Amino acid sequence: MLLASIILHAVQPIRNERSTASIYHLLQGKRSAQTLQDAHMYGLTNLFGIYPKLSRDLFDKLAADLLENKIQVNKTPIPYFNGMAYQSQTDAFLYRLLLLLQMLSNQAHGEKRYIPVTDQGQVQYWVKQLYRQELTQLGNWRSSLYEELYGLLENLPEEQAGLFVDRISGYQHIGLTAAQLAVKYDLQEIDVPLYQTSTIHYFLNQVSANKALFPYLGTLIEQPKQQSNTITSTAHKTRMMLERGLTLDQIAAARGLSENTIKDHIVEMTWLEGRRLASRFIGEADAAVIMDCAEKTDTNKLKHIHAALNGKYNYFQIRMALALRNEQEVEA
Amino acid sequence: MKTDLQQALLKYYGYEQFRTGQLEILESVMQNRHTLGVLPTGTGKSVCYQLPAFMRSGQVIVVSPLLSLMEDQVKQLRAKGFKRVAALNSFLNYEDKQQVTRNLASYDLLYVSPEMLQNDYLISRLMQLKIQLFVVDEAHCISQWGKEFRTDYLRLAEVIRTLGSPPVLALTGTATPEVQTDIQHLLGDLEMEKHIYPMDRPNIAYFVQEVQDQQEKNETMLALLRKMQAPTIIYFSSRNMAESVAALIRINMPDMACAYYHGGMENEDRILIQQQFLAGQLQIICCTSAFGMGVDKEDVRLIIHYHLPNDKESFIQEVGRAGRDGKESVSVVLYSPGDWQIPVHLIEQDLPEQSSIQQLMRHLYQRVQAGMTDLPAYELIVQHIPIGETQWRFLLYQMEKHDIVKGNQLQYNAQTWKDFLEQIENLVGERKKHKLVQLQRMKEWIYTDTCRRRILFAHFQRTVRPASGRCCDNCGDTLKDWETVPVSAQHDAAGWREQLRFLLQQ
Repeated sequence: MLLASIILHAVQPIRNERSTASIYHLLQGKRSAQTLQDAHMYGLTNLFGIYPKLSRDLFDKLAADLLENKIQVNKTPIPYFNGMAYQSQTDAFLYRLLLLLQMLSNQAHGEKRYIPVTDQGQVQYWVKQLYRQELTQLGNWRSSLYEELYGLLENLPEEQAGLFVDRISGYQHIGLTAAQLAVKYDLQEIDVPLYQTSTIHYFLNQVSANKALFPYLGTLIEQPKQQSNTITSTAHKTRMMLERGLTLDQIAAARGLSENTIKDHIVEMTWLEGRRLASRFIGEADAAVIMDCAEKTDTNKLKHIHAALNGKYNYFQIRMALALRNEQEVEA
Repeated sequence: MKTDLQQALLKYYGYEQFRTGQLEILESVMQNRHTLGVLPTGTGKSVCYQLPAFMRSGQVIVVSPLLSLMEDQVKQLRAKGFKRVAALNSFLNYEDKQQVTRNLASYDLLYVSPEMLQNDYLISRLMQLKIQLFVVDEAHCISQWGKEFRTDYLRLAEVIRTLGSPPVLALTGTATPEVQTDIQHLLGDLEMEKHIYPMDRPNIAYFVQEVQDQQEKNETMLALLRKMQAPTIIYFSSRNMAESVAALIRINMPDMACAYYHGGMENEDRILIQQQFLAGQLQIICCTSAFGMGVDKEDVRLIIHYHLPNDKESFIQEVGRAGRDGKESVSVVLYSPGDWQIPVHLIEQDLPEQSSIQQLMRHLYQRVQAGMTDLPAYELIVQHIPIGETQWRFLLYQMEKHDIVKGNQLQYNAQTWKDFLEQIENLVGERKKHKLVQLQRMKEWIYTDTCRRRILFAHFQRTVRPASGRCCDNCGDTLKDWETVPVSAQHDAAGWREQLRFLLQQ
């Protein structure tokens, strides 16, 4: 069971410090400061947002059963994921690819009557544009996409490649549903979307690393918007006000939020964007003391660090220091 | 006109010939007469309003309660290259709804769910159009004696008047004479040209087999599937059973591709399963009554009822999905004596108890007293009063009929409310009796020892055509000598490499 194995894998670093709900938010890709921090703090960024449609009820039940050892799980190796990097592009790339393949396959037989595999207007528009622009080149598209996909799929485990190809709809052939794929490959239905996502992450990774090798698949990648796409928009507003020189309590008052919320934003942007504004809230020497303590006591739990340092630093300062430590690791 | 219509049929659908009744209904519609069409399932009702939309200027508005069918039709029309079509229903998000509503004039064919017609803004936009035809699909929904009723259908008469009384076409697959009269009356006593076509199908043979328990039922079903080796639909009354029997078939008959289908599945998956069945990738579908509408597969050979529906109308409609190509096809009902408890239980569940009705009316009265005359949504009601959704729909229908609810507003009048409370017990009783009578007719059909074909259609038409092949078990026919015509095996690639090559023609 892949989902079960992923949950068990994620539980280890989090240990007893955070609730299992935080793993749900992580997999589901909740864009909150806390979830983004968890991902970074516990080294789980690759799993961020890999299962947007995960049902909370199913997750809760499975997580409870696992942690109470009610079910025995055959550990499944976790395939490639890079959620933090690709989570926002996965869906667009997948559906563009599926609709493009359906169009090319039908077009090869002169078949114009088929029901598109996705209702998403933007995806349909994108494929339509491509169809118009490349009308004379569709044969090339077919052969080149075939080559590129073949090469990528060859490097995946047989089953995972099969799972991907069986989902494709084309000329007089309709792709399988998740339930049907689960039966065919002897998987749990809940695991099927995870393998699909892993495949797309792998494609995105290979294609963006070797643009020259994958010129056709490369055009399917939606260019990420230039602004930082990890910081939440509310934290972004706080940052702009900080940059204008407003103090914590001024920002809280102006935005009608509590000071603690503003502090959350500051911790979040420190995690994700480094020390730029951090020095206003914690000195380098103090940060070093706290990091040192976290290191020695081998914990990320604020309460433990707070106690170990005899209450000298408040929780906000400790969180800032831990955020800075993460940034050092990234630089190193 | 006949040749124009025939040319259009060829041009837009690629058919040379009209199916039963299509031409007659089209001729009436093209002469702008109000028309009532009762056409058995599978005869292509939609042609009767799609052709006028293609051929003439002005808009065709189609009111339909079946949202997914609406979506399917729009997709199929778009796939055929007919783009001036749209659907307005609750599936659409706000922006798409706005987009369609603002550009109504750019569509020739507009599907609308009945609840969308409650929206005054939409009505005011519709009033600016030149509506050539107003279609009421599944028109039996307007009558409480039909298979199901819809509160919002009651308001269609008013909508039609507001829109300047355009020509109306009411269509349904099943309607007893009683329901036909009701349709005409509730649509505003329109003078309608009636085109009623018989529902019996000479090429379908009927068999009923009694089994003792579920195990024997499964064994009989599997033996039948092995014998027929043909495209098959199996109907269940529960989603769980549809799923588990599909699994059982897969294990026992690995070479007959089988899947399940029910209303609890994601829309995307439902469309995939439907298309796989159409494309011949699936041989057997285990489903609830949610499957079948708008599935135009010609060569379905066998319909098995693992569970029976509550009335003959539903049964006739479900069986009618077999043999649309005119070739001999088979209906088999498997029942065990215990099966009758389920429908009786379901009927009781569908109707509200007097005590919950009183609670509900008290709750509504308190809202009115507090100045909240908006009709609360079911989700809100259910937090206060233990009442099922079907029960709520029944009460809503009755409240609309009694002017307690009008256009989503509660209208308080001490006398009408008092009368309503006094009458409602009777109405519930009547409804229950009606349903039990329907069930009883179904039951009588099961236990009859005369010709099944004659009994099945007795309440719907005066005469029944003789069978073109086998008739029924009571007439002495069997399936022993059934000649299996194996369907051509579908392309099933050996692995992903071959499959990918096939898809992209490399």
